[in-house]
Amino acid sequence: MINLIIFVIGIAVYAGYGISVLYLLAVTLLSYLAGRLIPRHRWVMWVSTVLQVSLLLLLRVRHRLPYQSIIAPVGISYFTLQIIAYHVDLYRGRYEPEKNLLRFGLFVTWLPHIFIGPIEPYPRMRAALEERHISVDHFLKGAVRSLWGLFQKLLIASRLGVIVSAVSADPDRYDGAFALAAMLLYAVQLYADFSGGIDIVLGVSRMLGIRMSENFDAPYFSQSVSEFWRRWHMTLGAWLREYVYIPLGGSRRGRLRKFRNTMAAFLVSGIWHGGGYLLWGLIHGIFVFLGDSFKTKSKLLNRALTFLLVSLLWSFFIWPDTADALRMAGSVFTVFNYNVLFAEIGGMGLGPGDWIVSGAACVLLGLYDWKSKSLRARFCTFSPAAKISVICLLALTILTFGRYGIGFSASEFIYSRF
Amino acid sequence: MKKKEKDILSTGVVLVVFCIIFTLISMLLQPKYMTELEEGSFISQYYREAGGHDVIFLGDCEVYANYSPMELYRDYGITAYIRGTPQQLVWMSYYVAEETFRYETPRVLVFNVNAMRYSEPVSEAYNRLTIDQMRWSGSKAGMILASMTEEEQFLSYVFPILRYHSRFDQLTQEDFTWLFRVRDNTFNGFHLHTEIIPAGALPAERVLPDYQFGDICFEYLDKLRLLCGENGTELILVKAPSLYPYWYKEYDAQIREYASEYGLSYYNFAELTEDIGLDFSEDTYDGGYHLNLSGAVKLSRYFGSILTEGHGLTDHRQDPEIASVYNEKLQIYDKTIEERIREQEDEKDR
Repeated sequence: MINLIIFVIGIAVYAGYGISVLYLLAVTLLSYLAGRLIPRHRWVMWVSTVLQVSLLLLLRVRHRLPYQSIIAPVGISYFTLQIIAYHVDLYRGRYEPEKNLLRFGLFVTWLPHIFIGPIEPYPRMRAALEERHISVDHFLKGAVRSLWGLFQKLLIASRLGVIVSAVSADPDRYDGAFALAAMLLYAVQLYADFSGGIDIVLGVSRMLGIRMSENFDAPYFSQSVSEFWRRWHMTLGAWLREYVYIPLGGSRRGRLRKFRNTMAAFLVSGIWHGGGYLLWGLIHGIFVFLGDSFKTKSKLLNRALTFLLVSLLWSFFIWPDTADALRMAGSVFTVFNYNVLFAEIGGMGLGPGDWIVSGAACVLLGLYDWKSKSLRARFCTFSPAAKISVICLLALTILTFGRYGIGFSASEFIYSRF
Repeated sequence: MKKKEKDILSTGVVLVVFCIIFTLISMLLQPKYMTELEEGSFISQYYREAGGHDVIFLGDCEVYANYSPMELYRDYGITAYIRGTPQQLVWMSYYVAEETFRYETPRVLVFNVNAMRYSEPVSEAYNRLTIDQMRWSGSKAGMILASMTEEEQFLSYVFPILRYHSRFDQLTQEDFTWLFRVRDNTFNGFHLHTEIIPAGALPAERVLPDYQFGDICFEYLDKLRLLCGENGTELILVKAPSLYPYWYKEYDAQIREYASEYGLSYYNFAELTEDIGLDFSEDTYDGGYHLNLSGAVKLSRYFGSILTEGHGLTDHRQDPEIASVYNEKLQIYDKTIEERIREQEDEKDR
């Protein structure tokens, strides 16, 4: 019964985004039927996968399609990958098709995660749904996780986004030091936004008794780009490894094959993010292939260099035009206008209070990432009153120092557009 | 005590502490309207004075700047209070009237018709100045729902922190000084201005595509009329003598027709400036938009005689209880005027 209620609420909320809810329902039903057929008619997997990949490709390459409002619903990138994985696994005979349509519907349309992930493997989601347990303890843990997500989103991402938007809107005026500042701030903004969104998803799911997969593991503490990709958007990384990299041969059969397979996985990652991110994906692929080649003996230096490199590559996200992105990344090394940056940054939309709040929040986020596992374990040992105290403290902090209200759209997450 | 009971008790304590801190933070962040934008506190000052008024004024800045209840009492013994707020729209006036009738039943309710020209909410900032400090009741909820602009949310009126949280880095001494207390900055709702800025060149009169008042304005004027009727209060319509914004003859005709249809009195003081004795070279503090003290004294005297002679209001100056209250108020009023004039002269000398 609870599953039915959650499904109906999810569809009702989704319907608020327009007529594309019909597409979502149709895809859910057809994917369910296809899944039932695949064990006996294996070609169905190919038809389903080719159709879904083609649509996703079309959406990524051509931004406007006929009947766009119907066939390009919010979250299509996420549920399409989940469905492809489900069908491929059935094709491989890894598990039996889901017979319960409602449970399958929840797997595809689970409201909290449909907009920004995580990309959940079917067996895990099925187990989570079967083992669902709603309790006060789960509710409190979920509430803290959700509030922590909101904290990141409203105290950090919403503020840093102001500077990034100002710089990205005028690439002719803001280059050099401004571009570098935008890249570094965007790196933090994107993480706070995406990881904050995922925390909200995981928290709300936990409140409903479902445990979902983690998507981040302190990625900016990585010492190399390859480590970064093991810690950033982990469910997408797992999907690419399972359904692109390994089927192509993985790291077996020599370095050349490994290079080809790595590049293929990152090419798919680039395409998944959008037609303009191919180069971004390929550059990341090269650095992942090179692995630990550039590592020094200093962990701190490794982390700083990895962070700088990843931030520099986010320029493809800040300036969607590849030429602009390359020019701005280049300007970091050729234009030295730091005095202008320090003189002007105060007038770019954030006051001293905003800088103090976002700075303090970033420090807290860093400390949390550093010790997240032990902090979570510690929280589990708290009494209910202590847990509620943490919830109240977080809620008060967000309500007071969050950037929201008129003129802000806190419900929009950067990664929901992919 | 068992563990479960202990948990429940400690959780209860935590929640109570949270509510107290939440309330304190909300109060701290909310604008106090004590030294800046004083108009935002007008609505709440009434609650300390509610009851016993013969006349209640409703409307926008054209009431709280132009009529002085102190002069009405000094010259005619009329007890009056102005419940005017900036850009008070017709539906707002209705809900203020509805709320007022919960506290008292005046003999006369004076409504300034200037707001009839606005048939939709003007801005969130103006809404806040009227609504924020109003006490919670069905009238406040009704006013919020009727007044919200598209971008506003009802919840932000229930929990002001949702609106004012961004003031955390703009807090001033005023926010702490007036956290738990307020001060009157009006005299029975009259906002005193002693400055003189003579009327100069005003914007040219524009030809409007349509002069018809909106249906919603008449709808709320009807509601206001019926509300007064139910409470046995006489509704008087007035138009203050401002030079700008223009009160077009087409506007005037609609109000005259309405007043005549329902047997209401309507006084357009903009047409009576000579009779009142107004001189816009000295009776305005902002170039003809509003009257200053000198203008308000003249208008109040003129209107006071109408209220006494035409609407039978009683002279309370011989009532010892009322007299003691109002004489004290008059003393403060006169002293404040003296101080303001002295300050202005000192400033001129500097």
